[in-house]
Amino acid sequence: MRAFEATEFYFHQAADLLDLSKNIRTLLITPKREIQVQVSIERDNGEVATYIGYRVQHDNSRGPMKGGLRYHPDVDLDEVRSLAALMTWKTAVVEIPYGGAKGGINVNPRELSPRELQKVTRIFVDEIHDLVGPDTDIPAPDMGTNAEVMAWFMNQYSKYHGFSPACVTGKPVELYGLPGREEATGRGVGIVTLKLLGRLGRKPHQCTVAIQGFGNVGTHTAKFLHEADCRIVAVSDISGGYYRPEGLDIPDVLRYVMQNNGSLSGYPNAEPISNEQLLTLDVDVLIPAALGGVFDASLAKEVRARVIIEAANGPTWPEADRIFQQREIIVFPDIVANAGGVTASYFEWVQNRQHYRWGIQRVRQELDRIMSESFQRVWELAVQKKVSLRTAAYIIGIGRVGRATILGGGVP
Amino acid sequence: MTLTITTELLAQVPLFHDMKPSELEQLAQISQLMHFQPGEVILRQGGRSQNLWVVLEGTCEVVRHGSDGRDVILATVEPYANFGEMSFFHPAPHSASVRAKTHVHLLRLGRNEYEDLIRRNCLAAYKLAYNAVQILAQRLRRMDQWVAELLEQQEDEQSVCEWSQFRQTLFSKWNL
Repeated sequence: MRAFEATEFYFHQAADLLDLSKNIRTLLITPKREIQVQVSIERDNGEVATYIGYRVQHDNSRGPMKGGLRYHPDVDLDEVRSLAALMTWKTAVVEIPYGGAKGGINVNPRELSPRELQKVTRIFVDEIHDLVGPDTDIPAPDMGTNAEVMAWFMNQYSKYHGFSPACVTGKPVELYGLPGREEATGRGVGIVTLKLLGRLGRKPHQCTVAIQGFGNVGTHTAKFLHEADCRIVAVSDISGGYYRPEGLDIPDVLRYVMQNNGSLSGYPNAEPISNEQLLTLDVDVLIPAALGGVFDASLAKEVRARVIIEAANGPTWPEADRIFQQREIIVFPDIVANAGGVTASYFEWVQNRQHYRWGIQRVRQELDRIMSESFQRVWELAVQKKVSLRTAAYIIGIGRVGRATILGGGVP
Repeated sequence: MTLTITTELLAQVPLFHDMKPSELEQLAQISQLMHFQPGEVILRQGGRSQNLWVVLEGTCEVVRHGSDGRDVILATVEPYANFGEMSFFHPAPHSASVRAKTHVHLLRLGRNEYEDLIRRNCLAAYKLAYNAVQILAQRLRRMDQWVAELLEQQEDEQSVCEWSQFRQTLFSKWNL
């Protein structure tokens, strides 16, 4: 099983509970459209390189399709297809008016110069521009892509269709981007963490937190929770973990990382530990914010945290999920926990379409509202139906997509 | 193994219902008592014989030979029941075969002998026809009921169509 396949497993878990027939499941899972294109460029050294670009448009019953565009050598159709479906459930569970999509190019962005990357991006747009757009399918940054790539995308798309800032999100703030988008996913993770602790009757200052992964999501989650008075006792990145039982001085850690090329490597004011040690620390909250597939069955037995907030996509294998349930470790699922990013993308799109710019305070206020409401919905359903938070989230997502499909007239 | 035909024995046969001993004797006179070994075919599918058969002892089975070469047992015929009456009253090839399942003693009534009785205005022959009508009517009623049930079942299947089930799940049971 590859990490993204867990998504399908969790879909079926919820579909079983809803007692959906095989044909209805097939209807819900089958993507609306799958696009595969050739992306060939002449490289800086004169070589000809050919890559494959994908865009899978999974479902648009609730609105234009939305999802990241990733540049990674391992990207293939299976992965993109699965992630596109995940976006459908994610946008539905946080109730923003989008369907789900995902795209990618099997290129290693570290091996390409910025000039080459720009060519790859523009050719990809040349190939798919007729099938995407502000009312159809709106890409966003993902693994291996960033605001700059989105700016190239928008620029190339606009050559065909005229001024269209809403054709992608996650653009640079200077080019119709959203102030506050960078922090949005981490902020969303932080909000659901505080809400969950509140439901458990815990005060933030009594709680210890460990965060695996100190990239965009990890840093903003740490910053948000630190400001909310939580005690962040450990953080980690590819260089290893850094542990301080009394709580790390997060502003100090952030300053260090800024001056150290974005790496925690060598951070002096904490005890170095391994990534594995971080994941088994005796803490209240454990936040995986790096890659998928972190928790397998054996690690799940060692975890000592009371609560896991899935900031990364798909950090928990199904067997591990079962063990967490048996051990009564509360897992707050990725499809809601990290939905702050796509929610902020929605705000960016709304502003682009209105040609009106919100201030950062409004962005934060609206984000807090959507994340809080989503949390509440999922929590209440889980309690009411006595199911896991993950299953509750999928049920809400599938239910909304299903109802929209039915109300739209269903199938002929 | 012998079997003696008595009026007491014949009185138990539905086809001979409500007949006087003298009438039963009249019918017995024109009938033959026949014996078959297990597995012997009494009446062959597609054949055109016109006899009315009554089982007096043993069991027969009605077998239909399918076009795929397989035999399907449609029914078994127990003592005092009759078979062959459809071809007897309405000449047509037999729709199935009947063979002996055990040793069987049967009473066979031929069409020609029966017609003689009719020509002679024999009340026994008309009573037999009246009884046969009742038996066939019963069978027709069962068939009607069966057809009605089959139709109902089809309607049920239509009303639990997947789409309306899906709708019900999401709008009634799980409208959250």
